[in-house]
Formats: sequence, C-alpha cells, structure tokens
Amino acid sequence: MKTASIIISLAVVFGAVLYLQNKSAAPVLTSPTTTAPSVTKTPIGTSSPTSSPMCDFAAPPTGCHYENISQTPCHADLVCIQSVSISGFQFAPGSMVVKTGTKVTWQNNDNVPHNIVASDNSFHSPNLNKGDKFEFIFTQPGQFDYICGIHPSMHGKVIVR
Amino acid sequence: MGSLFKKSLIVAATTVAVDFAFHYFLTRPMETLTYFVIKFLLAFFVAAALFDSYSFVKNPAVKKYVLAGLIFSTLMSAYYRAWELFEIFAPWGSRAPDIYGISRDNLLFFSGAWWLAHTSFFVLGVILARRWIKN
Repeated sequence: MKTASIIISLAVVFGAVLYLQNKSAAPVLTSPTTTAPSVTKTPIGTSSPTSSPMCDFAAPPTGCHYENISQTPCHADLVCIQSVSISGFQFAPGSMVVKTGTKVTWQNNDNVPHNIVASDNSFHSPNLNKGDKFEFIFTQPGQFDYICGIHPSMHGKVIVR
Repeated sequence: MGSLFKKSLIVAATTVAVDFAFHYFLTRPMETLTYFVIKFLLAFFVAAALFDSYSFVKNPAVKKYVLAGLIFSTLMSAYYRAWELFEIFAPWGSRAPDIYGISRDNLLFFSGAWWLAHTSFFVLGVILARRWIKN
C-alpha cells in the first residue's frame, strides 16, 4: 500500500514536471508572420552577378550568392542568400552577420531530423529530414538567436545589420 | 533528514553525475539542463519507492536493484518518446543524441546501449547509497 502510494505520487509529480517543462521550455509551433519562409527539397539555383550585362554591380558582400539573376537582372530585385549547414548536430556557421533583406537557408545534412526555432518565435521551420531546406528572409535588423527544437542544445545566431 | 531521503538523494545525484559524464564524453549533442533535472527527480522517486518497499527491505537482492533501474530507464524513455510525439511532432527516437562508435541505424544496439547505460548508472547509485547509509 505504501509502495503504491509512492508510485502514484511519482506519477503525479512526473506528470506535473512534464507539463511545466513542455509549457515553458519547448518551442511553440507557430507559423511565421512577417516574411515568407519556405521549405524546399530542390537546390536553389545560383549564378554569378557578373553574368548579367545589364547591371552595374558593386562587389557582392562576402559569403553572398544570388538567385534568379537571369530573370531579374537588376540590383533592387536581387536577394542575397547565405547558407547554414546542419551537420554533426551543429549549425555551420553557428553565427553569421548579414545585411537586412538577406535570405538565409538552412540545409539538414544529418541523418536525424532537425528544425529551426527562433528564440523570439519570429520564425519556425517544420521538421527537416536529410536534404531538406528551410529559408527565411530577414527584413528587420537585430540579433536572432535560434535553436533546434528537437535538440535544444544546438544553438545558432544571425545578426542582421 | 531520514535515511530513505538521504539514500534516494545519493541515487539521484550519482545517476545524474555519471550520466552527465557519459553525455559529455561519449555523446553529442550535449543534453539540456531540463533533461538532467527531470532525470534527477525521476531517479529520486524511483529510488524512494525501491528503498521503501517491504520486499526490498526484507531481501535487498541485486535483481531488485536492476529491476528498479529498468523501471527508471523505461520511464525516462517514455517521457522522451511522449515529448517527441505530442510536443515537437518529431519522428520516434529522433531526440536521442548520437553515441560515439554506435550507429543509430542499428536500432536494437543503439537503444539497448541507452537502456543499459541508464540502468547501470541507477544501479551504481543504489549500491553507493546502501554502502554509505547503513540503516
């Protein structure tokens, strides 16, 4: 009888801890609001800015590459893309500095699923299996810390200037 | 402070300390503080139930240590599988960190290693608690 009451107490306390932990620590599944993130399983097409004769390009920012240049060969239409690889339970690079308007893409190269969850919930990816990509355009300056919601000790940071 | 409380505390502290070292040196990524807190509480209450049970007090056989360790390991796994399925909507077993040298493709070996590790840490805690607190 005594043992049974201890086991019941254990179950109650454990349930309470489970509830509190989920309520406070786990990421909230919300859809992003300000920008349109997307997940894709196909590689993003890239090309060099110098391939367009119509634009007078300045030197591109370090680490940037551009998409859709053949369709929109003008400065204003170009989106700088920076990539983050998820490999070995790490984000690489773990920290990056980008300009406002930069599109950051995360690609999962691990065999286990990961996701991307911003600390301020400004963006939240679905679960990414191996090869899946998630992209998000940073339209506001600031520091955006993020984690993998499945493995919360995986941290990353994007600083937007 | 009663001996049951002290012994349970020793079991919980030992389980978490050894598990922390295991995670630090042999797995990646490192687990979170929440994980270790939950593990501590769970080990404490399972140990309390063990030390308080009449049959264990009467005959503290090693097989009862191991059984309690398996219960502890099972409850810890149940917590994480429930978290994966109902909170994060992640595939079964995706939360578990990698263990160096053991491929997670071999599900039986991989999950067996986790069970063996968690059970043995708990059993070590029970052995130490019984050695340090006599009554």
